[in-house]
Amino acid sequence: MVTRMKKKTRARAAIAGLGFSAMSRQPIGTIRELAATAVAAAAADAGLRLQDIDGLLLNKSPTAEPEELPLRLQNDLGLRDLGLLAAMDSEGSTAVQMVQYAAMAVREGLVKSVACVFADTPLKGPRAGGGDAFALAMPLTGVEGWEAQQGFLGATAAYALAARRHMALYGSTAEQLGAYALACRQWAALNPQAFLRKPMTMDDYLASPFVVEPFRVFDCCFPVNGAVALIITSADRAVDGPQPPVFIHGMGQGHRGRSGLSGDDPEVFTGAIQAGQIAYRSAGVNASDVTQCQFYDAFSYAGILGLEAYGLCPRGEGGAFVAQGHTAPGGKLPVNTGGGHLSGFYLQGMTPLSEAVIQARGAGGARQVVRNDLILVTGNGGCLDYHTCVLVSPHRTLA
Amino acid sequence: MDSTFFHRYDEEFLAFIAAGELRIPVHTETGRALGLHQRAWCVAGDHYVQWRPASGRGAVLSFTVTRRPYTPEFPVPLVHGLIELAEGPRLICRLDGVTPEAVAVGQAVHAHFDRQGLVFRPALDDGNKADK
Repeated sequence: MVTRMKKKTRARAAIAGLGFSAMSRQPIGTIRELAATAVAAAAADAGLRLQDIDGLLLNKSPTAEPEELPLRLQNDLGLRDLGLLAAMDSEGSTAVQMVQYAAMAVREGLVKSVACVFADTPLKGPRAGGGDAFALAMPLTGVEGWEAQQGFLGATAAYALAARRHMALYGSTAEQLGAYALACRQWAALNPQAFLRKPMTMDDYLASPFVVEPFRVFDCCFPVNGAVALIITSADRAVDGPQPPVFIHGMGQGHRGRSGLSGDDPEVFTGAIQAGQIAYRSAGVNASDVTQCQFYDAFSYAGILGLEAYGLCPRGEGGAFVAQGHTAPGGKLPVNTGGGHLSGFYLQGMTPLSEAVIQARGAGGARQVVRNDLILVTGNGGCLDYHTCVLVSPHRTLA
Repeated sequence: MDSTFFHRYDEEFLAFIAAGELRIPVHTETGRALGLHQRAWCVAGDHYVQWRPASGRGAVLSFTVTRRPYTPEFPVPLVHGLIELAEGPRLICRLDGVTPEAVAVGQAVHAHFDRQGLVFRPALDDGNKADK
């Protein structure tokens, strides 16, 4: 085994601000209003006036209309003479992509401080759940309209089909999916911002109703209405800000594509493998250097597969790794320390990003993980189709 | 946001389905089937690729059982399979004639049509296929 020479990377961009709108299961305003609130909060957190922001990137949910989060958010915030403005849509991979493009724009000198915001209002009424908002058919077969014609509706069914394939190929089990959900719930219990904090046992998990087998309700994310924004700026500027800087060290993307032919297994081999390899290389690190993960885990299986795809455990052993307690509080590789999408809150790519910022700052309170030196943050769109990741750290230079 | 844009490719495949036929793209020189995501031949007007009738034989690679009702058109429990056709293409399809408890990965299935379109049922035996 050859040990690769590591180059020391010195970060040139950083996350300097984090802002939340209110978050609720009830209607609390429009996507556009919530987005403005979150950007203002993030700017204040970074010690900036709104007029100091010269870049704005927008991320709406695939289930929302473009006009619900228009470029005119610029005017809502009174931003003038922006050097960067875009509405981005790469589904669940978008939020991490915003951070990537913002960091590149800052490094290239296009802009000084970029606000990146995600906002969504999937819950429209007092008794609405998330299932209806996310019940759109996912195009997995390759013929438009096919899944709808077949009654194969919703992201839950799509990910459930992928999870069952993993079970068939590697022998992963319902109890391993449950162990993932339980670990997330343990973290959520320590996070005042998390929505599902009640302790859960394996019996509770196994007794919870199936949505789409093999997924029970606790395998699925917990959607909320709300918005989260980040401020990306240069590492030099971030050092002078009021908050501990969260340095951006490496980044990668992987969008594998599908053939729909025998031998192509998009349910278990995903672009996350490539995204991770590129990110590790760009940061001059190895997978074994990662000390904690903040995964885009809208379903339990996505978190388990993330461990495998990003090289953090052997192929096929993600479920066993989780069942051994490694990702739970006290484990050797903490994953989704705020409760993630399952028990924390589902605001797509901003759930893992916001928790990474909190952990890198050492602001995690009861859930703070001491080893926050290198945090892997991922985005995942489609049904395991579109992958992005960033490596962040409280350290400007990685040892 | 629930808008689907159909292209010629989709319309052709779905027209065969509406006529009670499962056809797949086949390269006429190599005899090999293309995956249903490999749509470029249709856009490029590649005449070497044609929609050819599939044998209808397949195997279950994965399956789901939908328990939460999403739409009255599809009552639950609703069983879907990820089917690999004998020719190589894979597609998601309803499974009929098998209970949620009996469905299994590796099961041999065969294409049929009901009033909602294509559906796969367990193959009666390997030698004598239950067609139509």
